Amino acid sequence: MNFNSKRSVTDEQNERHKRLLASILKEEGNKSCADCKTRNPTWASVNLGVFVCLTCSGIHRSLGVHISQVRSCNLDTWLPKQVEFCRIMGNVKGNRYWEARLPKDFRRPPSGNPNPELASFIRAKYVDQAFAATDSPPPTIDNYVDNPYAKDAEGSGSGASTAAPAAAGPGLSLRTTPAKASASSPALTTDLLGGFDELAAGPSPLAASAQAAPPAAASNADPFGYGSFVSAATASSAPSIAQRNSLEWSDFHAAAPPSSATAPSLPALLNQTSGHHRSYSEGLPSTAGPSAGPTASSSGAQHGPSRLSGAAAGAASSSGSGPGAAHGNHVRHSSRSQLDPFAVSAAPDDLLAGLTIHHVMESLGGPPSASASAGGALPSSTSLTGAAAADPFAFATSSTPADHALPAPGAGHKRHPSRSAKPTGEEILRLFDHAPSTAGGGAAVSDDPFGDFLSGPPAPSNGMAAALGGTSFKHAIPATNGLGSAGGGAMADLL
Amino acid sequence: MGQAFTKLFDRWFGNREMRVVMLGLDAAGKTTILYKLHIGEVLTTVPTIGFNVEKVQYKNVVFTVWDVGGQEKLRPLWRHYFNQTDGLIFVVDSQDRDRIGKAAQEFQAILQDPLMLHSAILVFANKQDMKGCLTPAEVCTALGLPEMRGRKWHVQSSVATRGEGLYEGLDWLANTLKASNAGRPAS
Repeated sequence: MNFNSKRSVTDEQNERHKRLLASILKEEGNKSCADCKTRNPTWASVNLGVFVCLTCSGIHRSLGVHISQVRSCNLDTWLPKQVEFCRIMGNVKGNRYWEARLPKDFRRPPSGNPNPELASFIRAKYVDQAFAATDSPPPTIDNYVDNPYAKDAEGSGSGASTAAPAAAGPGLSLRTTPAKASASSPALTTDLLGGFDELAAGPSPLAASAQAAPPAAASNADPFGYGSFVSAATASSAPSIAQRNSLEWSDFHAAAPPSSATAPSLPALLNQTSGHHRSYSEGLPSTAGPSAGPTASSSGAQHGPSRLSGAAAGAASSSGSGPGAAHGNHVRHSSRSQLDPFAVSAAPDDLLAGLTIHHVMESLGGPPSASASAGGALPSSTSLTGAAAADPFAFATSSTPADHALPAPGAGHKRHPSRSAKPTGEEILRLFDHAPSTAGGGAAVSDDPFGDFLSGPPAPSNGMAAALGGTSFKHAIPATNGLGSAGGGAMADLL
Repeated sequence: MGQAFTKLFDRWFGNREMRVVMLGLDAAGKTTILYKLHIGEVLTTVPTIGFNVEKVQYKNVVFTVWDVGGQEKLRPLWRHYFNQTDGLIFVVDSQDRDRIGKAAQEFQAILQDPLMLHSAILVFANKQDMKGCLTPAEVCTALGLPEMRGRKWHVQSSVATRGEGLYEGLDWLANTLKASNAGRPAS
C-alpha cells in the first residue's frame, strides 16, 4: 500500500519521471492521442511508446500485455526504461511505424467514447499490424535501440547535438533561396534565458534563429530541456536580432530573405528538430502525417507562438527556429516539434476535434456507473473518488514548473475556450509592446491555441504576419495570454 | 411477531447480502468482471479512476461488489473500502508475468490489514484465454496463498470476457459465506 512501492523506483526518480512525462506530453505529436487524435492524452502504452487517451487506453488494455501495456502518466509509477522509451518514441515516431500504410484519406473512427469502430481500428493497428510498416519489426521497448523507427531522430541522448549540424547542410541545399544554417551547439543551454531576453528585446530575426535544445544528456535529466527548444515557423523581418543571435547563440541562422517562403526543406528541418529534441519531429516528408494538409500546417502555425511563450514561462526557454522554419512553408513541420505549454494543440487531422471542448474530465474517467447502485455507499468513498479525481490535476498543475503561471493543459481548455478573440491589428500591436520580439505578429501571438481554433477566418493582419513568416518568439507575458491568433488559418491559405 | 417471522424466513430462505471488494492491479479485469456479472455483457471499459459498485445477485445472495481502480496512485485508497467487508475478490492478470510480483505485494498488503482479517479471499486468475498466461496454480503460488494460515481462500481461473469461471467464483464465495454465517439478511 505504499504510494510508490516499486522497488526500483525511488521517490525522487518518480518525481523526475513525472516532470519528464509532463514535458513529453507537451511535445507536438504527443498532444493528441496516437489512435483517435483526441487531445491531451494522459495514458501511454509503455511498450509501444505511444500516448493515448483514456478511451483508447481502455481498448489497449483489452489487447493483452503482450501487445500493449498501458500506464497512466499521472496515476502510475513508471520505470526509468519506460520513460526513456516513451520519450524517444512518442506518437509521431510510433505512428510513422504503426500507420505507415494507413490510407491518406483514412477516416479515423469517432473518438471520445468506446465504440466498436475505434476498438477494431486499434486492434487492426496493433494486433494485426494492418497499417504498420513492413520493413522493420515494430519498435518496442525491448528493441528500440536498434529499431530504425525509433531511431531516426536520435538513438540516444548524445546523438542529438550531432544530428543537427549534419542535417542542416543538406536541408539548406534544398531551398530555392540561399540560406545558411548553423547548427546550434548544445552548450548554449545555459544561455537560454539570456538569449531569450535578447530576443524579447528586439524584433525577431529575419532568419529564424534557432536556439539549440540543451544538450541531449542534459535534457534527459531536465524536462525543461524540451521546453527550451522552439523551432518557430518564421521568417520574420527584423535583421537586428538575427545578428544578435549570431553573437549570442552562435547557431542556426537561416539567413533566408524574408520573402523566401520557399519549398520546404523537410529533411533539414526535421533532422534539425529531431536532432534537438528527439522524438517529436514528424519525420520524413513522406510520413508527415497521413492527413497533414493545410489544416495541419495551420494548426502548427498557431501553436508555435504559444509554445514559445510557454517556453519562456517555463523559465529555461530558448527560442529558435530551425533553418527550415524560416520559411512559411515549413510551419507545419517545425511546429510539430515544438512544445506547447498548453498541450492543447490539435493533431493535424484533428482540428475539428479540437473544437470540442475537451475532456479534462476524461482523466477523471467516469466509470460506467460511478454513481453506484449499492445502498449504503460509504460516505468516505465519495470523498475518495474526489481525491482520486483530483490527482490528475494536481499532477498537471503543480508538478511541472513549466506550467506555472499557465493553465494546466486541461484547465486551459476549460478556462479559455471562449477567449479566442480574433486578434485585431490593435491587439497585435499590443503584443508587440509586450513582446517586441514577436516580429512575426499574427502567427506569434497566440497563447491559446484553442482560441486559435475558434477564431475563425484569419484576420488580415495575421495573414500578413504569416506571409512574413511571423516569427514566433515572444515573452510569455501573462497579459498576452488568451489572445488567439488566426495566423494558422492564414498559413493554410498561403500554402 | 410477523416481522420476526419474516426475518427468520429470510434468514433461511431469503436473500442475504454480502459486501465484497474487488481489487487488483490495473488492467487485471476488475471492471470487466463486475459488468459481466452485473449485466452479463462485456463492456468496453476504460481505466477506472475511482470506483464502480454494483449489486450482483447469485442464487440467494446479493453481492454488493465494489470495484476500485487499480492504478498505483489509487491503491492507497483501497483500504478505505475494507470496512465491513465480507469478502475480497482479488483479480490477477494471469498473462502479466512481469507484474505478478507486484500483484503479490499488493495482495499481501491487503491481507495484512486488520479490517480484512476475517474476509474470505477469492482470487480470479483472469485472462486464462491468453497465451503464455500463468496457470491458476502458478498464480496461487506467486501470491503466496499456500503459506497462508487461518484464511479461507480460493483461486478461480477465469476469462472475464467470456464469463468463464466468474459464477464458479461467486459460488464459492456464497458457500463460504453461508458456512461462516457471515452474511447479513438483506434489508
